[in-house]
Amino acid sequence: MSSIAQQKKIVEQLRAEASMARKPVSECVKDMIQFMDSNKDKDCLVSGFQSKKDNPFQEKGGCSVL
Amino acid sequence: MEDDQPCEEELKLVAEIKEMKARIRTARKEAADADYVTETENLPPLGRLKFKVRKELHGHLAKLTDLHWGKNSDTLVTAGQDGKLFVWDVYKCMKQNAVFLNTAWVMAVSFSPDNTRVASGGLDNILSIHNLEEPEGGTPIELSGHDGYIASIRFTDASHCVTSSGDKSCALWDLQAGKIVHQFLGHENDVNALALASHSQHFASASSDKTAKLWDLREQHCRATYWGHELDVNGVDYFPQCDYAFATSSDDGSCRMWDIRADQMLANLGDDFIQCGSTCVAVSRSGRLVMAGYDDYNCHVWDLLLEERIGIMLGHDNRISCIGSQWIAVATGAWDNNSFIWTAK
Repeated sequence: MSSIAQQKKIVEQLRAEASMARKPVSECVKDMIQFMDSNKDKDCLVSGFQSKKDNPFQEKGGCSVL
Repeated sequence: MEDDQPCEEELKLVAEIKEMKARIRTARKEAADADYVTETENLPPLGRLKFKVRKELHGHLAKLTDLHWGKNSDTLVTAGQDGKLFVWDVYKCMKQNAVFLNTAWVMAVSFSPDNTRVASGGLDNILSIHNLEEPEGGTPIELSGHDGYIASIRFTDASHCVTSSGDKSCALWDLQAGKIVHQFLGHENDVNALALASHSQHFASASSDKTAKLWDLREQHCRATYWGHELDVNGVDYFPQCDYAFATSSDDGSCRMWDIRADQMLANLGDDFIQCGSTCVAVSRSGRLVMAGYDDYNCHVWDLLLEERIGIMLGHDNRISCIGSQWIAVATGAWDNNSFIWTAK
């Protein structure tokens, strides 16, 4: 593709990107905070585990009968 | 007559490109009716998080380059430059499956949606599909189409994949037809990583051209380009509500969060303590945490809302190359040949 044809494509792509409908930042942030809040209890990286037993990766101690 | 001077039409187009970019900047500013820091500063902090290695997955004999969690979060597939893919039972800390690749230089790996297959790709420029129901992955289906290395792969459904490549493109593959059915062009340099929205309607790409792009899979075009990183963007992961946002990591040492609906960067996760590039990024399942791997062998854990580092993941002995998060754990892979599974607290 020639340089001119390439640049025409770039202009058209940028024109399309410019024309998108944008939501206000305040609403977007509000929605994100709400999502995080609704999901924080299930996110064990944030909330940890209720007890060690709930952590399937917790090393099991104790003895077992052979 | 040879004329290397740009002609009038070219000059006009250069000016139009400049004007369109200015138009985008203005539109983004108009959507910025609030400042992210101000909107989030009064939220309660999480406090310091302690991440601990719970499982060590030893087996690769060379650098790990990619990993992907299985659908039930109890398996993980890792790719190493020993030319092997291992599928791990992460609880038993054992290999369930091993695939020996035709090339050592694998860079990307992905489970198929039902986890019966894995796809791999790398410096061989070939998308390979392996059947985990056959010993050692069976005879791979090898698909050509990219003119450069394959950096990232994801299945959009049972018979289609998207890939990102060193040939500057992303591609949608029809696996039954055995070929690329759409090329996503626009990046001006290597496309180092991609992330797929959970409903497969769009995907995000990270490039050495310093931008990230959002691509619509139904209408097959680029929806937006995100400028801001100062160096190569090499990692990308969606916010768990995939229509809201995604995060990127960059050689410039920062991770950033880009809001899709406001069409702009909201969070910039970086500080003076970090003096090296970030290599990969993962967002926790509630969206609150961003975990990123760095060149200095560490992963740092960020509070996405307060833009603060609140944890460090110490354990690897070399550069972190890949990371993936799910509800209860994070998996990392590094150039120390190991993959670790971490939990918090």
